[in-house]
Amino acid sequence: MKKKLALALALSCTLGLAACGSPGTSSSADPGTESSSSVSQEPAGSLAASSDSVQFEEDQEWNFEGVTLNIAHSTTGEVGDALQAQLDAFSELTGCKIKVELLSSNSEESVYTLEVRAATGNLPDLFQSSIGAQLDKLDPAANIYDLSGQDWIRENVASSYLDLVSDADGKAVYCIPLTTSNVAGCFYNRKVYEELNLEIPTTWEEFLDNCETIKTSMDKVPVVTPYSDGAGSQILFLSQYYYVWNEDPGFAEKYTNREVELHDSETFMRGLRKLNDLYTKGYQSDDPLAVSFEKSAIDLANGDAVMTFSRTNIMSTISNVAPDKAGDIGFFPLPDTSSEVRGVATWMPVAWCMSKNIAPEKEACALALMEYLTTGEAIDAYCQVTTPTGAFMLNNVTLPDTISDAAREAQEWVAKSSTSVMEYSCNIKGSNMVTILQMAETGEYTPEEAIAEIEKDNTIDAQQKGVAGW
Amino acid sequence: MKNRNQRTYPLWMAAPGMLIYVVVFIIPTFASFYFSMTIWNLKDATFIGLDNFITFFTMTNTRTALINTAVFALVTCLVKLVLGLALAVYVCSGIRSGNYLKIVIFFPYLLGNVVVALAFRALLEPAGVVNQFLNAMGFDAIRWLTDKHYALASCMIADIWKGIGTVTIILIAGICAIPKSYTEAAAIDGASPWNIFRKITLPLLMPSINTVLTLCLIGGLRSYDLIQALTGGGPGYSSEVLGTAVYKLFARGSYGLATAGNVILFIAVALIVFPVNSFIAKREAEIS
Repeated sequence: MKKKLALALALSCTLGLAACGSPGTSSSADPGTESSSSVSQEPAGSLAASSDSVQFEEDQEWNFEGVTLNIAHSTTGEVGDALQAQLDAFSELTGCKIKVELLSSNSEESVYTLEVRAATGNLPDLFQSSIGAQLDKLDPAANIYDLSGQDWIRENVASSYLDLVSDADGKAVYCIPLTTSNVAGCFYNRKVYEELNLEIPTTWEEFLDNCETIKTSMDKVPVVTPYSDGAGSQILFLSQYYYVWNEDPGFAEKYTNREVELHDSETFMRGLRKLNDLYTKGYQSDDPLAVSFEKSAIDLANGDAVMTFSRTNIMSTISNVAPDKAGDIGFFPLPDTSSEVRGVATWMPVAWCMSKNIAPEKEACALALMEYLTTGEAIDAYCQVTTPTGAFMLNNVTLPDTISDAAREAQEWVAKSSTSVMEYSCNIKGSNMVTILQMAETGEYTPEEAIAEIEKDNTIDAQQKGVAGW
Repeated sequence: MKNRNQRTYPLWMAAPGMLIYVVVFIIPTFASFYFSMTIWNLKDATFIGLDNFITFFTMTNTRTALINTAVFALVTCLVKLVLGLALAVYVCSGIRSGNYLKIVIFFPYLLGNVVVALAFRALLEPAGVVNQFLNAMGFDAIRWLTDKHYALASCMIADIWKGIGTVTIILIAGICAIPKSYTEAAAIDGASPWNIFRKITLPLLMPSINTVLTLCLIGGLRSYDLIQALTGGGPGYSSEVLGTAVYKLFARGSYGLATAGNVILFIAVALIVFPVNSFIAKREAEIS
């Protein structure tokens, strides 16, 4: 009897334990989850901005000796160091203490952690959050400090960003940008392109021709495909959304309302067909599921691979692993059917949020930090550590001259023709998206099979979210 | 049965422990039965009956996950038992390096699952030590973690390497508990080492083997972290187990559906472990 009881007790533990896990090891944030709720088309604001940087108002008496702020973020690498430099600078300026807790670099996991803490009223004073739909998960009205009353918010933060972090009627403002925006497209090694006299492809056909030339004339991988990385396996597929949006700006909304199916849109399907082309024609890496994001950056910089579909944050990795090669890298948008229609998909910066339930004695200090983070002074601290690869989405802040050519070219495309990726306007995304794409990318699924699986997986997600009409 | 009044300690002394147990384990267990039948966003739960279970079983990866979970648990359990038994008998055979070997065998247990997974990732990567060795021996390199035919096996190897220490230590303890006089008497009577093992060591070791089997089966069925860190359930769904499938649902915010997956895991563990356990217990009673 005792034994049976012990066994029963042991069994009941498995329920709890089965769900406990270790942090994932994803090297870069999942591209699908930095979502937001509306489509925006001009995240380049700060590039063209004037050079009068807003200085932190030093004449104010900022003295926060004895105050300790608890901050949680999930940014690592050079950008993480840059954030730390900003926080250190503020700490020195005001005398407050800052305790930093690093959340999982897997964005789904960090959102999950924050969601649980929000539900139990244990949010840190300041924390990193994805914007849009992921922000909604945290129930901003109940949990996040409304910044709309601060006189600096509209002055310092780009309005196109504020649109994405405000509530439905545009009154409350919940976030300020934490890093820079990210632009997706094809990064290529210029030296190899010059060597082979290749033109920048303006259609997918031309792109495939270039791949064929590379494949037949030299021993290099035409397109390095970092599919071991959750983000890396989705970039091409997700950035195809520019063309879907260009054809029908209401596509995401219609899909959310279940008025269209994904497989009905040939433009949407082309995202999967392009992945399939790379596989069937043998233009991708040999063992793509073993290629990491870092390896793709190194191979591209060294010229072992000629192209890769990635986001501008790859330039930060390249300037880290091969600083002298960053100038060899160029950028062009993912090509589609027409050379007339070309554009890029973008990701907005993730955000800093402040807890609504912050202790009264910390409130002034936290607000001062939020203001500080939107000033030129904070951006200077950031740029001393790392070269930005996108726009800060702040007014009156200029990007340094050291920004890489590829990042600059990407920003030019943002200004010309761009949209945020679909998930900023549609929160339906099944839990197996990465796996399904990886299977499509390694020939396990045809594009038709893959889209059927994606639709099935999305249906479950929509039902679980209680989206009307599913 | 002792008289109530003769107990050394009154029953109510168990109350604090039981209270913690009820709050931390019993209530969440029953709460999870309820939440598995809801659409739940951590704040509000809408009751939907058994729909989550139906959805879970219609998901593409569930079938693979169920089969993989069973295969993973059974294979790792049996291999650990057989190898562990061999090691335990060897270490207890009076060899001089016995104590040193005990430490070496137990060492992997001290490492976390994720640490083991990262180490194995480094070993099994395309240009890793294992493939270099294979190349040197004249074989082709194997894509251990990215070929669907090898991924689950690679996870099993890592799990066995990590888990064999505990199994061996339990069995060593069992063997040490067998009075030396039995084996000595049998040896004097002319029994071969194999017969001593089969007729004396093995039967008297059954309680330890029972413990090992139960622990390994439960551990194998709810394995998650090692596989997540090693292959993430991939490539495709080839090393997906219930744990990784449930995790993906939790991460995506489908808390009700994920809880349903956990309840299924709970039932699966109960369905497999209880019969195995009672079968072994019966054998044990017959033998002794």
